[in-house]
Amino acid sequence: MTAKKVPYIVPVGPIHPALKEPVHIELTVSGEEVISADFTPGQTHRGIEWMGLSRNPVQIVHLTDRICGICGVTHSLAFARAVEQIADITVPERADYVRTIIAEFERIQSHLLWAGVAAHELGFDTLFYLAWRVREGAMDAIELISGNRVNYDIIQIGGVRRDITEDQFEPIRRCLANYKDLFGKLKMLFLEDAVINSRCKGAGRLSFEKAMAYSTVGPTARASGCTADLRADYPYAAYGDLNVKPVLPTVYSNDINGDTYDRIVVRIFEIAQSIEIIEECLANMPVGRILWEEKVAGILAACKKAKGEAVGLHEAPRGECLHYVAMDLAEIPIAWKVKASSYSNLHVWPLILKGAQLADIPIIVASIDPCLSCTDRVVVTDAAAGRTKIFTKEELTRLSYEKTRRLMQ
Amino acid sequence: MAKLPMFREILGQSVKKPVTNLFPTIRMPKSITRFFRSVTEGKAEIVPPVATPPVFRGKIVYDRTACNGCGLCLKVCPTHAIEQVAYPPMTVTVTDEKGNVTEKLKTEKRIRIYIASCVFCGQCSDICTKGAVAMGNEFLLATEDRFAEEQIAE
Amino acid sequence: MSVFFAALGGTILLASFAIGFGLLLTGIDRRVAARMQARVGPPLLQPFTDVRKLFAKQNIIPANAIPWLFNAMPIIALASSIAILLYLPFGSFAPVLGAFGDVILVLYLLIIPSLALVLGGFASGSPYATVGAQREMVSMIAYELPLAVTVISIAWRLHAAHVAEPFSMLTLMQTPVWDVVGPLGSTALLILLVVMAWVTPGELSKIPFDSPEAETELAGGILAEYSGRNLGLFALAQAVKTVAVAAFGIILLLPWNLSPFLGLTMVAAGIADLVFFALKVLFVVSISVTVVRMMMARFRITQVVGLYWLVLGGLGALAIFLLMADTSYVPGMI
Repeated sequence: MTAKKVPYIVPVGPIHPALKEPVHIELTVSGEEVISADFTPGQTHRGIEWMGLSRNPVQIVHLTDRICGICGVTHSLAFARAVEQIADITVPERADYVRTIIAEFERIQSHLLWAGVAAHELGFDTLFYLAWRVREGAMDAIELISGNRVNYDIIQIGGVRRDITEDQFEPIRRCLANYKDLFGKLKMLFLEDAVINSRCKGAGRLSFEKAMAYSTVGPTARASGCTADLRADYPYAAYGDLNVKPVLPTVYSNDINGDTYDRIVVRIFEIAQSIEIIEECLANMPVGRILWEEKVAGILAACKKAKGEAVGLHEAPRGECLHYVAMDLAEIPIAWKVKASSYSNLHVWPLILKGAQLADIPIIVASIDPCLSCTDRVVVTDAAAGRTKIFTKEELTRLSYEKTRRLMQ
Repeated sequence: MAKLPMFREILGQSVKKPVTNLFPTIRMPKSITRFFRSVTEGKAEIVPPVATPPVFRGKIVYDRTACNGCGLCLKVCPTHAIEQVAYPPMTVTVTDEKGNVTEKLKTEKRIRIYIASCVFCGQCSDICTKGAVAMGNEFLLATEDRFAEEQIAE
Repeated sequence: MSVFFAALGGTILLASFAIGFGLLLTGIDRRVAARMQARVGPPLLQPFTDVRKLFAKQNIIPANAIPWLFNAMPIIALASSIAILLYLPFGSFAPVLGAFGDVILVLYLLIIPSLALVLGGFASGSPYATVGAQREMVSMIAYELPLAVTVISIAWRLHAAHVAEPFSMLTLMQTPVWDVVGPLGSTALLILLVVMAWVTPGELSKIPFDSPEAETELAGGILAEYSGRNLGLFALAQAVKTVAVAAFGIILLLPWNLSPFLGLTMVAAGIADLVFFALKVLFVVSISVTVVRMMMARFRITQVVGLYWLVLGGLGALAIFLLMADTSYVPGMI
């Protein structure tokens, strides 16, 4: 451990009760105040992108489901959208609606999961159990539609693999009605509680300017007042037919502080928004096919003829998720790059942790809803020499230049 | 207590029934292994887990007699959990157009599925034209040996 | 010599009673808490199993630790927790060492288990434990003020009512302070009851005052480096301290015995009072520990100080004024 003189260096992670996934945060602490913070991602790199480069898109789309344990549809939807653009595949309208419904159910369950984790970080375990118990409703609805709770595997290139049948509408509507009843209670428990108020207000403040400068995405950005929401900015799936407006903290209070409390407000009210979106989708569900091409062989044939590159975007519960895919007349893509939403948000940690109280670190760290398994990309471990190397920006830029040059030859 | 809304919530909850599904037993048995042994022997009963939905994707059920070894499932398996196996050549009698009966050596192609590598996406059962692969209902698959007999479907 | 042997016998008897009862209380607390969270919870005797397991496990001393201090502190924590019990009357049983100490001594003794924790934390040589130990010191200083205010004002009120030996624990138990006050005094005592209800979870380091241990930020804080037998001893000390702290609050503010109402005497009275006392301890623990820790999030350490000094300290001061006003209007009875 570190020296015993002031200021202390308190290591958090890679394994720590406050962290649900491995990341290393190093805090310089004087008394209870954090003087500076730094973090080292790259503790849970799994090489999924590399695995993808030896598989065809139909295989990868289910590999993407496993990038994140919570976003079961985020990555596969973003990846499928990228491939669909390259191969010029038109997704049937009904499939777009099913995709939207699943994506919004995912948002509900992800936000409730986050709310539970946030309550746990505050030492409020009763609220944690309650939030996760409430979350089961969304999990059941997802299970009803897709078959499984966590890995939905519902996205296929060119549509969805399972339809929402007439008899499923009733249980889904019941689930939504139940959430509508519970929403008032959740709002009261999270937003009116005196201790949560006193712990979260003013903690981890991120100003609008900084949020823009650090290119934050999703609820983290919206809590700071940025009206960034892919569903409204670049509508896809069924969002074009719906009137989605970004949720800002102003829905609950008059001013935008960009603190942890505002992030709770945004997430709680996004649950209400998702309920409305699903209801609208169910009411206006178009009839028709759910797959552009029923046969997988047909999809693969289309991929074989595809050439080009594309970016697939999806507004994940945590913000913009980006998949870059390049294909060159082969089943197997020549490049696949994932930028999960947390990747954009992690970088504000040193900023918002500075000057924070030691007690507030877990909730501030959790407030951006970090998903580290999604994020970790480049860490080079030399097992023989026993050292780990993380590439700097300059090195990565240089390597990128070299690769581009090689590709252009 | 208006500022601590959880107070009313916990008082209400404390008189309600817990929501936990007491799987697999209500009380912790003295020995878990002995308990499961007596379950397999039919002497004890486990509290059933939460029911799976109709479209659930559990452990793969493979029907070798229906399979024709076409290998389409290999093409869609995201984790390469399926491999093609050639059974040792066996002698089959073939009758040609002229009615001559000859004996030939023929190799049977089938598949082998490693459940430990499977991610339960269900693509193989969707693509199978013969209906030889189906997603079952079983999900209690924890094991210490990933090459144990029940972890490989063939 | 006979005093010595009586004390020794009493200590062993009390210690085993307090350890058993304290662990059972922890079990009940965990069970009730689970029900409030819609869970089933562990078996009632789970804390016994936990301690037995801890005693069977390896005792790891970190390389950075000061071994003798690190190892001594769990024993001191348990011993001092048991020592508190020697000065507390249980029901109609007089304290084992009642003749040798009064309420002020108990006030000091209550600090020692926490102090042992602090020293153990500093001796661990881990940044988590160091921060946790600093916090424990701060919260000790914080809750000491309202606690001292409560004790002093009650004893002073008894003194004002011309009760002999107002600082003796036995007097506090036998002469319920509620009997000597008028309506103003009763209001003051109700305020003090609220103060004690909030001091109890602080003394026991339970949510919302568990910042020294703070699982999510300090990974167990003070106890981060403790394992095996040492951790088991701390668990026992915590169990005993739970009984002691709850009993202390009861003696101060809820001291009635059951036997005078039922007209029981001798052994029956003793047993009835002891059972009643135990039920009161259970009641206090359920309210001050279980309900409070279920309905709140953890405070920051600055908020702990603010709450204890400003809010509860202020309430204590108000209670003192009310008691003073009460003395001048209603002359003490008895």
